[in-house]
Amino acid sequence: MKPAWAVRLVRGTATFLAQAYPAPFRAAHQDAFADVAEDRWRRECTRGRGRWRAAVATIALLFGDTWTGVRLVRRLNDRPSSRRPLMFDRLFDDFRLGLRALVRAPLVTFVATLSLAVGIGANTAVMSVANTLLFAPPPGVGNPDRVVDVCRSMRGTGCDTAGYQTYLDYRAQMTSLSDVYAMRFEPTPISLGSGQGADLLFAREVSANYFHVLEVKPVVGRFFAATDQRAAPQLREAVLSAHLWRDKFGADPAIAGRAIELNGDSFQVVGVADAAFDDASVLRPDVWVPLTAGSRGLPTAHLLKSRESLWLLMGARMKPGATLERVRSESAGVMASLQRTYPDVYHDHGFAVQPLRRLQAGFAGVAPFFAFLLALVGIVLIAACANLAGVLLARGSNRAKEFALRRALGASRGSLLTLCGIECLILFLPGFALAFIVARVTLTSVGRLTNGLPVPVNAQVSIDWSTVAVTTAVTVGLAVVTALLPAWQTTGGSLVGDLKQDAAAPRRQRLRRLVVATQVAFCLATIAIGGVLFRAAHLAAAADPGFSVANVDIATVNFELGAYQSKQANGATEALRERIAAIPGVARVGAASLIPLEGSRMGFGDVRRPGTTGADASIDAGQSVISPDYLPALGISITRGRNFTQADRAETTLHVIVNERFAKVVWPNQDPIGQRLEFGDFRPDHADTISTVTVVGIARDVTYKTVGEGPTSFVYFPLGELEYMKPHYFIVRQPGFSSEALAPALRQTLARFDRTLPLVDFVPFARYAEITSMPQRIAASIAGSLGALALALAAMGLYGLTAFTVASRTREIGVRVALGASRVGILRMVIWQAARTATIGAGAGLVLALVTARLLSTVLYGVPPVDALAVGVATMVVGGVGLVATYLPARRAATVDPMTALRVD
Amino acid sequence: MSDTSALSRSSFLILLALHDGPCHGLGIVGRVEAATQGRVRLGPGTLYGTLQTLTADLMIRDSTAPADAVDPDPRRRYYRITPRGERALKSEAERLRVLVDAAQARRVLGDA
Repeated sequence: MKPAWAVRLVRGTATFLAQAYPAPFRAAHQDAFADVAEDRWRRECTRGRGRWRAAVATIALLFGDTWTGVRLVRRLNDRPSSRRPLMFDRLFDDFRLGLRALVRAPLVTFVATLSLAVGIGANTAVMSVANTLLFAPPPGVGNPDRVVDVCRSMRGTGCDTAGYQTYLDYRAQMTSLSDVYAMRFEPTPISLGSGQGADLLFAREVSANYFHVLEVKPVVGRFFAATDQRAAPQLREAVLSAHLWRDKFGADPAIAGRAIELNGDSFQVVGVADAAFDDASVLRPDVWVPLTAGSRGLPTAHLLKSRESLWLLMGARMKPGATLERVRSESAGVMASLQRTYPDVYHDHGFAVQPLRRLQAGFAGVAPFFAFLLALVGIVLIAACANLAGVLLARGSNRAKEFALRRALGASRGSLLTLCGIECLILFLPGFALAFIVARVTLTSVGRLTNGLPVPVNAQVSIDWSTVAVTTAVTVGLAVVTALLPAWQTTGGSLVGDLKQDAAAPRRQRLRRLVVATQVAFCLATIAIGGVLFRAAHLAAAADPGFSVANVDIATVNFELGAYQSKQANGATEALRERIAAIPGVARVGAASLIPLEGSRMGFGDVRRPGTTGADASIDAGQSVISPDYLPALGISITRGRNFTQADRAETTLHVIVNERFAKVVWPNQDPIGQRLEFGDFRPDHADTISTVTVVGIARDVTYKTVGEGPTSFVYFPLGELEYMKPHYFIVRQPGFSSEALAPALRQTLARFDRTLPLVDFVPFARYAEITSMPQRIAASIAGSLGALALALAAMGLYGLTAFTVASRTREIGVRVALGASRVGILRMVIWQAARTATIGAGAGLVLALVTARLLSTVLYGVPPVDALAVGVATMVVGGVGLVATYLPARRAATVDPMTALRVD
Repeated sequence: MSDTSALSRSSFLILLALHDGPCHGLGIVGRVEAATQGRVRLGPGTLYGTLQTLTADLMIRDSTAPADAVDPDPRRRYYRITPRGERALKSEAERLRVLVDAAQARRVLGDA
């Protein structure tokens, strides 16, 4: 603790308390006040008290002293006739008045509280997530500002994976980087054999220099020894994450040097990474292994030699003095030289070099999704501000008379403004409190959502205080201004007019109309967008993907994790399928290499019509290897031809089933059954991979990638010929059996089948559908709840405006009625005037909604660019609520008794 | 103020402090504290409020810095006691002495 702070505190308190005195006295002594206070503090210090205790004692004395002093000065000032309200007393009064206002105007309090809570809370939550993932480096990295992410860009944009040979070349050629690491993009499921069955872990495969480049500290032991992997081709070493070390190994300090079994191969644990370090990305692997371990399930020598396979992300530490610009230009040079040597491979490629982040905005979909969320919460913030402004303005206007009276009684303009400001701040306190709860709850639920993801994600997000500060400043600044505006106008204008409360000063009315129009606009936009998203999510959930999702569980096994060669795996897939089918409660089991709706698109090769060549000849089609039971299990019918049989496995020529779409595109006017296709790798020098396949059946079109997409072409291959190690078993349960009931039996079956084989995944099929539509669902739930809130707020705004207008025109309306205006006429006039404001706002809101929806449709799957229904319903809802909010006060106006009205004031 | 005999405690102490010679605000705090053996700690509000009251009652007035001032800071306002202030101080001291004597007679303070 520096003494400077204690002194500042003491002086600041003295200066603050000086505000309690009348201005002339304050002006004469303010500086001296602080000096005396500081002197007081020094004296307290010399009495053997600590700085802070001395400060506390001084401040306590200052408060008591202010009490005495103010009274002294006031008594003095009372002697001449001039009497000044004392700021200090007024502060108390204002505070009390503000509290009273809070209780007496529950509607205003409610609106202000909710608006602030949602506006600040939602913005804080979203900005905190964005900040953690996109704008802050991963924790645990040493000197993170010198580390960069290096990825492959296409035509100058994006961030994607690169090949291993590219990495080696890049590492060798870059001079502005001290070292470059590489890591596999996806975490690799890996089994940890620990004696009693296998545990499934997620491993991150990294180059051996990974930890050295990131300057992570080991808690125990060391990191990978060989930093040049070419020197150690089969480096069977593992670095444990702190959580794995703690959970599985009891934080054993002697773990280094112990051997563990990963995928059945022995690895030596060399160290444990710092607990603060999760990974250089958003993922949270359990263990790190070298890319070059050459173990089962890990990259093969073939993959490491390939330049075309794209599976690595890179990162590097810049040399001292090197700038991001220099690294970028040098990277461009390296890419240019690569392109000269391998023009086919690196066509349109580039290196994107960015500061190290958990998530690169360049990854497909990341930036648009965040942009959308930010836009949405931005709209909400504006809507919240409009609401606050609306209620405060209305309140202020209603108090015009009160202010005029106070002013006539001698209150200064400044004192009234202070009163308003303080009231307004008190009004906000519950809102702020609630905002933090909103932010926390949102962040917690985001964290919970990520638990449902199929890969371990680190979404530990803490509240971003800079966002809190900014949103608070914006909201409060705006609110205080709107709260002060009426006071300012009133106190500036003619007292007489305000005292008489002559019907609605036009200037103020215009301002209020503008605020309400803004409110209606943003409310309509928020509801419409909420509706669009809700419908998109609903459509996605309700859409028939073409197969049954209910009562189906997916069990995934990876034979690479056991000791299987690829030829054995095919037999094992079928053998295990039969075992699973025998489990009680299982109606049917089909195996396939692809999970529909998961979004992945694994290919085994390209297909084309015989005789066609060239780059355009390949038919764009999804592919899956399936067992004969797969199509019936999912209820996908064969429309022509036949399904696979066990016999198809033994055929010398490969039989395939295509979907209707494929048949229509490739053979528009012919019978597809019996047609032949060429299948394989069509690049030059790979002619030996090409084989001919025969179409034996046509399957109904189903949705494969995302729910809500149009039909895409698809080819099914029979189990047996093609090499794949990771079958998904689609288990149809008999009625009355739950997934939970099935799980133990399944594990038992698997353990009996092969105890080294872990169950990679076991989830209900419906979960995949949910995960697929998660972005829509998150967005829809946010937009939906905000939309409902915005509606409530705008309804209050509209009601408030109309009610106020009517109230302030009671006299005018009375005159009109007295002069013979009909009640219907009055009703019409009042409604029409409110409707005009609302219509202008609604028009602007519609434009806003349509523009946003158009942007949305490019970002989120399944969102139509113009959703007439959602926008129409939103307009009707806002219109209806607006009408009610207008009608009630209008009716009151129409029933005004002319005599009463004329007697007003 | 017609009744000068009932000086407030802080007024009395400030007049007492200025009795030793012209002084600025901070100095008065120190003198008061020394005179009361640290029992009375004047806060800025009491100090300047009282100084203003005393000025208004013409018991003290603004003064130039004395020639022997250690730190002749031009910002500092110095105060000097007026003859009227001296009179008020004296009468208050006498009034207090009467009170103390009365207490003494009853051995309130013991036999010291």
